[in-house]
Amino acid sequence: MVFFSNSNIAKKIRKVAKYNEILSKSKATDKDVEEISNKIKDAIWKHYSKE
Amino acid sequence: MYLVIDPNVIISAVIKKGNISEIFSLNYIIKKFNFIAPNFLILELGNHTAEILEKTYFSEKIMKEELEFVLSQITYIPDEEFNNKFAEAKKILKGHEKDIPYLALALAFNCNILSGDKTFKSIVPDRVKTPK
Repeated sequence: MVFFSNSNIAKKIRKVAKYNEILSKSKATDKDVEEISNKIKDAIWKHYSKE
Repeated sequence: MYLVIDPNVIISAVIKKGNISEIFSLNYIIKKFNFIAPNFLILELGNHTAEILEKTYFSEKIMKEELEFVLSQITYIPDEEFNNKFAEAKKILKGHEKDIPYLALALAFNCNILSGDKTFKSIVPDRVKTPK
């Protein structure tokens, strides 16, 4: 890690690590993903089908 | 390399650790894919933040950080750049209308789609790639 300490890639790796650390605490399930994304897809289609 | 992503992929990347979050993690560093999505998707996501909070138990601040990480990797394409492909997409998808915008975008950019939707994959197997 010392090798990357001042580089842009080090910042990116830290950001990715933080993103994954947070996600590992999520209580969401596959069913939740499907439920929310289906609602979003429905709303988006409503927008486009009006055009 | 362009790759269309649908709401299923975005929500999965924001709220759940798995194959899709790994793709976004890796792409953040190596930039292999240029993720694209219909412009309207980002507006609609904003209407569902309360549900994301409810399902994840994240604080609002944490959720915003996760959203920013994922959404910043996506280019949002204005409707006029792909709506000329709607008729062709509709013909291919027959009754599965909800996926027309994503297929139309893929046709316009001549690229594949990353989606966890099994029905979508079964209709357009060559174009839809599922995360494994």
